[in-house]
Amino acid sequence: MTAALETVDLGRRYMINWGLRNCTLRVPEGSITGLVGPNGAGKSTLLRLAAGVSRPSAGSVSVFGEKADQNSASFLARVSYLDQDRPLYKQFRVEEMLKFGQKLNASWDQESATQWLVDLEIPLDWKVSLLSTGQQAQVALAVCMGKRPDLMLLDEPMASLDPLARRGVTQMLLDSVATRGTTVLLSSQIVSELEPICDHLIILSKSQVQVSASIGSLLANHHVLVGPEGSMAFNSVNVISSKVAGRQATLLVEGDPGTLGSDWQVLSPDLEEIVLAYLAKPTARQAATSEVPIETIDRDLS
Amino acid sequence: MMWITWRRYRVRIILMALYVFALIVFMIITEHAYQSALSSCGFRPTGTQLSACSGVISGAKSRASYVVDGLQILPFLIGLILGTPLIASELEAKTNRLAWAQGVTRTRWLLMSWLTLVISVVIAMSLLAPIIQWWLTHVHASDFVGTSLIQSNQFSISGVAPIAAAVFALSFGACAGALWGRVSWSVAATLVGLWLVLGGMMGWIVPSLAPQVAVPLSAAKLPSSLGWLVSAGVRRNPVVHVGSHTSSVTAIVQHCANIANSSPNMQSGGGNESLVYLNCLKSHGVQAVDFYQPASHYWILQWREAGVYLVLVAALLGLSVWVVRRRRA
Repeated sequence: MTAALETVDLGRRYMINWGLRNCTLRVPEGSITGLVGPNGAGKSTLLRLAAGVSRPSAGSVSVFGEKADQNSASFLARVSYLDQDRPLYKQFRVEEMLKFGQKLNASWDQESATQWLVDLEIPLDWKVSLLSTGQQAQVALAVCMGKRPDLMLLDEPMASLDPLARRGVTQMLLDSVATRGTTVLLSSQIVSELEPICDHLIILSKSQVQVSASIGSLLANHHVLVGPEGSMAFNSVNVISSKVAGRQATLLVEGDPGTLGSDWQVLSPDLEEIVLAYLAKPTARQAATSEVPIETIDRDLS
Repeated sequence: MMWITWRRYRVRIILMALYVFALIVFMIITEHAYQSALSSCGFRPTGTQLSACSGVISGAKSRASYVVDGLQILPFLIGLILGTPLIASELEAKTNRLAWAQGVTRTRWLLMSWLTLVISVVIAMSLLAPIIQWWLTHVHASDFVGTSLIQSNQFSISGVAPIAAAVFALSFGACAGALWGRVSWSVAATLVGLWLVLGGMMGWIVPSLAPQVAVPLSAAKLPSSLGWLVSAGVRRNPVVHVGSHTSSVTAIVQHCANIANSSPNMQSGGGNESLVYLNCLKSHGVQAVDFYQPASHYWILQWREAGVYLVLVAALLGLSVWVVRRRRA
């Protein structure tokens, strides 16, 4: 399977600080990839670079094999981008925002975009400035979705949405992937809302990629080991985190721990545990960060 | 794309249209009032101007000067109200992140937005131009014998050059917005920039766009219909030789000015000091001259000035496109 998005040693510098550095990753075509990381980790920078909004200071970023560049019509036709600030023309009416999308995009799906907002009971004849923050986010999403892109880059799309609206957005993304094969890269601070829909995960920390892998492989390759403190020598695994409480040690490791003594317990961590362990230790790296397995995606759409 | 620009700018475009409409109404009113006042004081266009009419004429011209002021600030308003927000307001509100992520390239987005506003401005200015021409010939220039619109304050608001100047002002504002990215800074830069360029154009560039005519100065006042007095100066008369005198022209001018100032006429308030001055210059082989752009150069200068503006517009547009293409959103 080809990569919808590929970066090689990608970097973006703001004055003397790097917003993103040495970022090498691949987002498989047709996947929903979650992007997590603490504030300032470089999530928005990565999405802006992928959308062609910013230019790289180092390395390269390509979308479906083409350089990410907003001066290329063929690139723009395949990509839609939702900025974290949800920029909209506040003086426009909602229906005018949809007309805006229609006028600027050849593949615009007016019916779906309108229906999406009607279903959410957002009045089409209201000015955008009169809508709530959540409703404005939905309008911005409708403009993004109505473009019928091949790659959707969404910067915290669930932020400011109520739980019901989040479910709606989740379903919309799943439908889009199922019916059109759209690739989605979305950032979030909340791992639990990514887990049900994402099949790949990228963890960014301190402007660098810590992890880039399928969620399935992450869950399969990470283990929680609980055993007596003092016997913690593991050569075959990559220890991500360890903590000692009394005489008991708890480790999160990547890799197969093999056969352990009877005083050791091997447990399966959930995704949030894995993400938090990596975020707590920014120097920790997945064993082979750049080698993301591109595999067939079997998604349960139920 | 044009719909989007119209939708974004419709309030501003309507405001500008109202301003232009108000100017037209004021022009019609002042012309009507002027003609009524002239007929009431017995003015005949072919006859000698009656002294009773001089007050009427000066009063009407004083009111008409507001129209001239209003027309002279029009390029500034176009630059500030339509030009500066074109890119700067998008960058400030971050709506460029929305607009530039749609299916049209940044270059096309800018060119189409700019073109929509340029078309609006050109239509408005083209409608306004013949009305200005009519009004100037009826009111502002009507007391000149052999009326000419080449006088600098009339030249700058009549003909085709103001249309090009308006497009230039729009492009200047847009370019300032692209460079500075903030409306307030762009407004300040546009104000200063337009003041310098428009002022410099009338002060230095336009007068030199066609060969000037040098007219020897005499004590008698020259008619204004001669043209646009660009500058006054002196030149050494090659025919006249005064002995072996080799003083510089500057020294001669200074010498004659001193003589004129100390002449009995000057001290008694007789008013013939300019004749003394001119005679002194003549006796030293120097001639006082006025440099004019004659009335016959009106359209040559208009088209050449418009050409200069259009070259500047092309440069500004190119710079704007370059900045927008490279700019981080």
